[in-house]
Amino acid sequence: MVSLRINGEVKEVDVDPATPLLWVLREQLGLTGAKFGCGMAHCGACTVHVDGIATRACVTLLRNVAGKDITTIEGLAGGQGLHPVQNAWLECSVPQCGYCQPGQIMAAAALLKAKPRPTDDEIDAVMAGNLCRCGTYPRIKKAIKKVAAGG
Amino acid sequence: MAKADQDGLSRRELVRLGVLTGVVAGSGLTLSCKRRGAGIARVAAAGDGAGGQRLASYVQINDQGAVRLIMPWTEAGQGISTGLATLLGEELDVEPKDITFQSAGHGDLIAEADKDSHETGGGAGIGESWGFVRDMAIAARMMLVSAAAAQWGVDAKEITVSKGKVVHRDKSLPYGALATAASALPVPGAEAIDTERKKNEADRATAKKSFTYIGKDVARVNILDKILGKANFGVDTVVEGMLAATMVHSPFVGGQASRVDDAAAKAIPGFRAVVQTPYGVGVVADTFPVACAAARKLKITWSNPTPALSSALIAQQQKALVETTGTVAEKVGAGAGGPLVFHYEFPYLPHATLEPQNCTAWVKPNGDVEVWAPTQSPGKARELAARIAGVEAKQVKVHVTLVGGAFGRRLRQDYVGEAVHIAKAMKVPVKMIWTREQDFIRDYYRPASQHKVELAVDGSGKVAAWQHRIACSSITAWDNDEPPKIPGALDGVDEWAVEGAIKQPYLRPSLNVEWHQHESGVPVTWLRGVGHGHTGFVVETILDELAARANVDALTYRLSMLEDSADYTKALDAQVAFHAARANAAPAKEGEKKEEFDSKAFKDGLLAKRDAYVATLKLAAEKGGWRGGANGNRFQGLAVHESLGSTVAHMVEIEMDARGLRVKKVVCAVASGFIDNPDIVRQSMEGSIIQGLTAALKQEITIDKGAFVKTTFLACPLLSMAESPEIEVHFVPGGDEPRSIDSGVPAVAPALCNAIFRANGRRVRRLPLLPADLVKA
Repeated sequence: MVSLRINGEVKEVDVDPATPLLWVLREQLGLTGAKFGCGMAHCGACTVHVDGIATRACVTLLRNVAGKDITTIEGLAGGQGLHPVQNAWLECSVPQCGYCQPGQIMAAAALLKAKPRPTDDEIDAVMAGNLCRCGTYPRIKKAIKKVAAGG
Repeated sequence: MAKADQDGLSRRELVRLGVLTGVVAGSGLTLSCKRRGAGIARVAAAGDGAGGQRLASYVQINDQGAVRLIMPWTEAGQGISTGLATLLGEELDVEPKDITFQSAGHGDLIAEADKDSHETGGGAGIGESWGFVRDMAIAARMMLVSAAAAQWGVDAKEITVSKGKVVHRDKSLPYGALATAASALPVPGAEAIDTERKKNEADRATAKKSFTYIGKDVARVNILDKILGKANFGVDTVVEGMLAATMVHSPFVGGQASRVDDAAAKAIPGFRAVVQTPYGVGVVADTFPVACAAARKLKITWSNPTPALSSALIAQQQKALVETTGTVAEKVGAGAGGPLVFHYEFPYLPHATLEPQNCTAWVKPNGDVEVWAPTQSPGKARELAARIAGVEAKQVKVHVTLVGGAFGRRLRQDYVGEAVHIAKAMKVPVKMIWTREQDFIRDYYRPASQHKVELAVDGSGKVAAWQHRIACSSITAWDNDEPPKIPGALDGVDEWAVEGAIKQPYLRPSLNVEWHQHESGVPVTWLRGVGHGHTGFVVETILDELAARANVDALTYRLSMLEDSADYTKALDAQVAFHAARANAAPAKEGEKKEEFDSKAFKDGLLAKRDAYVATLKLAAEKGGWRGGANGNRFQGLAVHESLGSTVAHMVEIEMDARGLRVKKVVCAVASGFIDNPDIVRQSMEGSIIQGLTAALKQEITIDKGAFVKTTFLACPLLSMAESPEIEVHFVPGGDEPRSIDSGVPAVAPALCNAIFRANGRRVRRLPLLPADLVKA
């Protein structure tokens, strides 16, 4: 049994501690918001927060996150409806197919928490690890800047 | 994917349905309309499926007032659900975002008699179904109004609808309270619906009342689910008791597993089985990471049928082919070439959908099969599943999930075949997901191609003769869902290979387009843009080059090639005559009546295309601030192309210096007819532009020693945010009907490369760009 703090709740899971966190979330806990895109931290679709840091859940082993605070897209708003980043995503109509968006939102939320007024270059650098095949980048950037400008 | 068949729409007929199996069950009002074709009888009464026939398109208002639209289309991010909800919302006066959209799938809500496979492709959904979605909405509203009129004892003419309510002076009732009563009323016939629509249009015109939702930026259906992480894609399917699986495919083109040693895999706790399928080796486990770990431990002996095959060899073979006469695709005038010679080369391209191919399948003990798949073709998935499970198609239900990017990949059903093979062997539900490496090596790619153009210009620098030879694989010949196997020769020309090279509105008094089928064994299929992705590049970069040679502005030059003149009419008529003769000589399709080629409609289509070229070119140039190619430290490029019935021009602005190339801005002009939801079109253009740039700058699938070389996003990258330009989208007004909104890709790469020429004097003949292309000539 491994004990995890996910979205503010303690969860016990009975799986191999070498299991990637992504699959613990998706298969053991039914939290399917974080997506599988590549399994090697190249695409960012699986991004979650571990102690507030944007983390690729597909290459993060369960044993390395035991006892840490994990936030997924499902818990980002903390029961408050929409997180400001999600709200900006709604206002800018960001998603197309939507598959990569939970990862994009988690990466953007971590960036804005660490750096509430990021420059364009800082946005580009941090978001470079989150791929989108539909090409929603211009709107993602607009939404991030909207939050930075105070919504 | 068949080319869009529009004519069925005139034969539409609305029907009312009562109780249906599955998702549409319950009280309230359900209307249905078949999608296309004729021959399905009208449903006479509620609950009577007229001999059990079930139809593909539904509008339902339940007794709580919830409005649901069920359509044969797959939502893969292209926005069909939002586009249609906007129309439905307009006619019913209901907020489009409150309308639920569901893909009908195949085998539950779909008629047994309906042979249509309900494919979603080519951005055609809106054009094919907007008419009858409006009809269903108008009919539903008429029935709700009639029900209220009866209840209140007033004249229906005095009743209006507003925000989900039926209103008469100070009285109102929500739709939900009237839906069941409305469902007992007769369904208005096509004529009554047409009259009602015309009356509404006249009312709008007199009251100078604009639409409430149509033409506005209505938010995407499902947007909240997508933002909250609640949207369910194929990979999110959960079926009680399911196992997890993944696939291992041949790393070699056309390879087969001759021996599989699973001794090491068996030692992994949670490993269940290896299932050999004709597609590759399935690995089943309790969880997906265990399946992947077991897959890595397998020792598989693969055959390599073509060990000498390489990208260079494929290019060499295709290059030899374009030196010889091919099958004629279009011939005008003398059909000769000329002394100016241009060679082009394009690579195989992957779809690289962010959601890897996956499918959940369950072959039940009684032989019934259920499939959950992110597919663009549930009908084909159903056929394939039935064949593999060894049951009748009617025993198979295909549920279509949301799709994490499609772009044509999900028109193939190979992943469904694999999941059914595995599920059949395991006797329990199995969710099979590919790893990214497998997704890269078992794609059906955009065909690689070689082009040779030989042309002559007249004294003013305009094209006098143009011969264009293309060599590539045939998408049509590969159009099956069997394990990939090199196909035989196609009879005739594959339209998907030559589209965009033929039926062009540019003046080319002598024209000859030929095609060579070349099969290397690398599987191919439709990718957003399809043939236009390479043919459009060739046409639009050569025109740019000819303009520069003639020392004429690139915009002016194109417009001169589109100008009305005696020569233009003569060439156009010859083009029409060629296609008429070809169509009339072709045998009728099996089971179809041969119809005379409509030369007038064809010619009108070409003229409309010409007008759209002129309008989009001018608009893109005007809005983008076209200055002939240079703007301060920026360089500009223009291109235009029609595909799928819509025309898009792009003006690209770049910076290029010692630090390299930066695509700064793309200004896009779209002529896609009636714009139902402008923001959905804008999003499609933004996506197309980024996909076009990705293809131009980043992507190619290569082969070496018979094997696929690139298997990760690092080796075959996507464009990133930092590389994405500022994008502006403008619309050419006009048109009564919506057309494809997915025509944005083809003109992107040529506009970019035309800008590169202005910057460094180099002409790009091969994509993706090489570092050498960015050095000063």
